[in-house]
Amino acid sequence: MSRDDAFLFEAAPYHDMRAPAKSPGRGRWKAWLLLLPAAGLVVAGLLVPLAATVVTSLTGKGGLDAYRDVVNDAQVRTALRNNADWLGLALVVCALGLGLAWLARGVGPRLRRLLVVALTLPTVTSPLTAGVIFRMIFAPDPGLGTVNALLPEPVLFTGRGWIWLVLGLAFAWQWTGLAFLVFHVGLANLPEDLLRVAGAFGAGPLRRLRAVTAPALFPTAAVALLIVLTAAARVFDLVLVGAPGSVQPEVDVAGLLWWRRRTVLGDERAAALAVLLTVTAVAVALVVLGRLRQDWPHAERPWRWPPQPAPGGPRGPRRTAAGAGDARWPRRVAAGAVTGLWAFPFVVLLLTSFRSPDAVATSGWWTGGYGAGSYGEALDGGFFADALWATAQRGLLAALLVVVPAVMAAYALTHAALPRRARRAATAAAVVLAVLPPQALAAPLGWALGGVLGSTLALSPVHAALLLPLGVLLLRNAFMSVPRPPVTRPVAPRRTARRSALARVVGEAAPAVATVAVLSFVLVWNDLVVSLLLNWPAADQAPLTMRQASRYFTTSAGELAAQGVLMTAVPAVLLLVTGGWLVRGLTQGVRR
Amino acid sequence: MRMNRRRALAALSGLAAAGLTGCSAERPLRVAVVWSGWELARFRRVLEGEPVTVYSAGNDIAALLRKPVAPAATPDVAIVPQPGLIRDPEIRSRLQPLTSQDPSFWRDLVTGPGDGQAKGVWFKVAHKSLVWYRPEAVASPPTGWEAWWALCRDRAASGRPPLSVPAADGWALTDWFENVLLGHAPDLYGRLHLLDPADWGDERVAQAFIRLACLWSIPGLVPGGGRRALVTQFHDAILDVFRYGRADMVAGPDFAWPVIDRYRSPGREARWFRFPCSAGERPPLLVGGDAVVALASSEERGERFVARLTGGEMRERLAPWARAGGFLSLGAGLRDDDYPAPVRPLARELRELRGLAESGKPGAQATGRSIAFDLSDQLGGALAGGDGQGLWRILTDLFAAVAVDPCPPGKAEEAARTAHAAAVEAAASRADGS
Repeated sequence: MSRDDAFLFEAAPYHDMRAPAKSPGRGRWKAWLLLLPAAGLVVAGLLVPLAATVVTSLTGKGGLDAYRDVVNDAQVRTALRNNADWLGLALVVCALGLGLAWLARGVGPRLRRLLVVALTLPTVTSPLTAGVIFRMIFAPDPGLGTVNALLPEPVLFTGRGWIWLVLGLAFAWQWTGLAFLVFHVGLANLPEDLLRVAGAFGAGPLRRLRAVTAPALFPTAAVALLIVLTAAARVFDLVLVGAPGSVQPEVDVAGLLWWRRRTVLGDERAAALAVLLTVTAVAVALVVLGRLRQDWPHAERPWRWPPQPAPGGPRGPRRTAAGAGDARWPRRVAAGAVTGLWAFPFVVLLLTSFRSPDAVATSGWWTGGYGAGSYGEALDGGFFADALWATAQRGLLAALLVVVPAVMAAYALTHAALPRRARRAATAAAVVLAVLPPQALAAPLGWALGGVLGSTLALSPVHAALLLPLGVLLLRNAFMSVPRPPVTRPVAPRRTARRSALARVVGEAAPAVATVAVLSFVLVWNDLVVSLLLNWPAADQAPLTMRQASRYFTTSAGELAAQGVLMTAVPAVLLLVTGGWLVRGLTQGVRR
Repeated sequence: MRMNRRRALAALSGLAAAGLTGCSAERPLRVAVVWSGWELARFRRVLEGEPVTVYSAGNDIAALLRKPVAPAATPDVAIVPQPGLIRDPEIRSRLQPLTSQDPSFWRDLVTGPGDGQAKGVWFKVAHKSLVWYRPEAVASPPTGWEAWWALCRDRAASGRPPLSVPAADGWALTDWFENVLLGHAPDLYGRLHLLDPADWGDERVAQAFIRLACLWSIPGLVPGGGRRALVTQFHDAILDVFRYGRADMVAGPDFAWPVIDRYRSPGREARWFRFPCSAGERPPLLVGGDAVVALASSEERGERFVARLTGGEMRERLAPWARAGGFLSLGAGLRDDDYPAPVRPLARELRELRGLAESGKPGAQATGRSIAFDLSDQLGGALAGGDGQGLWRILTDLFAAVAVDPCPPGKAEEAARTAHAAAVEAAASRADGS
């Protein structure tokens, strides 16, 4: 959208006219101090290892030889092309989320709540579990696979070609919910008056979309876009468990290829491949960042988006209720269908998990054979339970290590007295760092952590470093929405005032802080990549245990289903308990 | 407030320290294995109640042996399926010499070229030259490769798929290749793991690829066609034959038995015949196995554990695993009747290699068979296995080229030559030093 569009100017009319609460001098270096923990973690956990990888890729045979070798490798090229396809799919998924959000506007609150739950639960499901579910649903044997049971002719969905459909659907099932959620809130807060004015001035629907709707939606959509694109750039577990071995070369992605071939490639070429993967991910981030620079609110102009409604004033639901009428029923039916469609994979997983392992291996879930045998097999010997506990410990520590530095850094970037340029640079750095693939860090980190690898908590700081940039971004958005009192230097002693200012911002933005904590925990809980790259000796991560069990898919499907249910239960409960907060935390960030 | 923070920090660092260094005096012995799923559960049951932690290192066992890792993750004992690792000088230097009662064929596999010391003892061995079949479908097993090929062709022509091939699992296809090659060129087979491009370029290697391509390209060979075989895993193939009766035979190692036994439909019998070879060739005996090693850092504890595990003291605990199938041992005090009937002769055969091979060279032909260890478990470099990698991939591609679409013999041979060229190239890429 162009800057000179008259409506765009109107789309963001809420300038903060209050006196800037800057305190140069002493306040400034304290702001730098607040950035320090986050910066320390990022430098030690991300930048130094990344630099080491880059250096490795350039030394050895010399110059860019390693890159030339890697780019000339047909397998690498296939993998990079596949990565590009995944990024394309991520855009489709975001568009689908927008479409569903539009659909959800016209349905009643109860159905909408169901729709939100059905769409967002997959987002907190591990990609490994998603892969397991979709491989079950699309099993080639009509006696086992749900979809093939419905077809007159069996289709080899897990074979070459068709496998893309299975993996793509699994990815869409997982991530559409996030885009949906963000757009849903965005659409509910569209500037109605402005749209009406635009209409009155003769702007057609397309122009209104371009000039008002899109700019209004983009700020909230940017983080969602970033998360979904990052997920696409890092696709790993889904492919690993979702495709049979013979199909793996076709669906290979750079991250997976790196893991499989790093020893064959040798240090330099493996490092070069990791750098290429990083460049791809960063390029994507920069595209998003380019949009952010234009559209995202700056800290100097505290963002009041979406505009706060007057008490009892018009909000999304009322508006739709007014304009609904006949259009409502088709929407309800469609929304119900979508809810059912999205809930269906969970139904299959749950039903499968409550069947005996032998029944699962030889018949479809609709044929009965119920019992708790699969759970017995999954929990046999207590090793999976131990792994769950170890995973939870690691997730909790990582969440703590993300939240504390992220809160301090986000405060420094919004309410403290950092120069504008430093804020922008730090924010841009956070966007770029948020997408770094663990493969780019694994080799140097493995070397540096050598002596502690394999212990339960050793990887928590690594996880924290990888998640911190995203946490800072989310919190920064939220903190910016916290209005500043006109005077931040009251009569009270400075120290107290500062502490209370931070406490007040955190209190106001509590939903966002909770979101960052929950998101960090869930991402560590579901992680397979980092544990596979760095924690292989201990193998006490629940997803690792699950992956080991997936070697012969058909005969271990019952056990896998039971493990998948247990793996999903924890994030699902977290999501349901903190649901309302998460929605706010992800979109607006503050109590409203 | 301050005290609280300090206390919290102290508690946290204590927690971290406890996590980072398993610091009790009589800590459990750590045993790293490569198994997962059923085998891992079985092995853990063997060691139930022992002061032992068993964990699976999966494909990373090599890195685990090679590099120092956290004390909490450093194994005292490891069970390794690739004897090449045990001969690797870098790894050897970190292992203890062990007293081995294994037959010389087995002992030589884990003995270093320089020091003459055995640094591994075989815990579990596998017989990989078998074809399992349903006797009601195959009245008399074929006598040789040509007869087998004719049987498959005739049966496929009559619309009954004779074989199920688990082409989704690369290792199953490499077992096919190794059996054919071992029967055809046993002396060459013994050198191929050295990755000399001249050896790999030998015409006899090409012949082995061609022989496979000729069989795999038979139209109607596998149920549902080649495309379905490519998504059929080892266990699925067993179910095809012994549960659903969709095919009559499946080539698979002795550890197919527990899967057959668990999933076969009631009353269905399972037998095996030896993997066939051509007239004038010695029948191949392809073996695999897992050897126990003790890391030097484990001192006598590790050595004692190995002795206990392989010396017969654990017989009572190993017998249930042996009875279930999927576990053959060279010793460990197990007797013939500890094994299920179908694999009893196999256990005896592997154990009797002892006396017969003692007199001959490794890979000896004293038994009238060509004996060799699984090749793909010994390959490194660009031929090393894994999904979509090395020899696994070359054979998967060959299968896809000849079994998916109708493939006349000329085209099959061409595909085999392509596969051969890919193998030679992969071997050469190692020779470049890259």
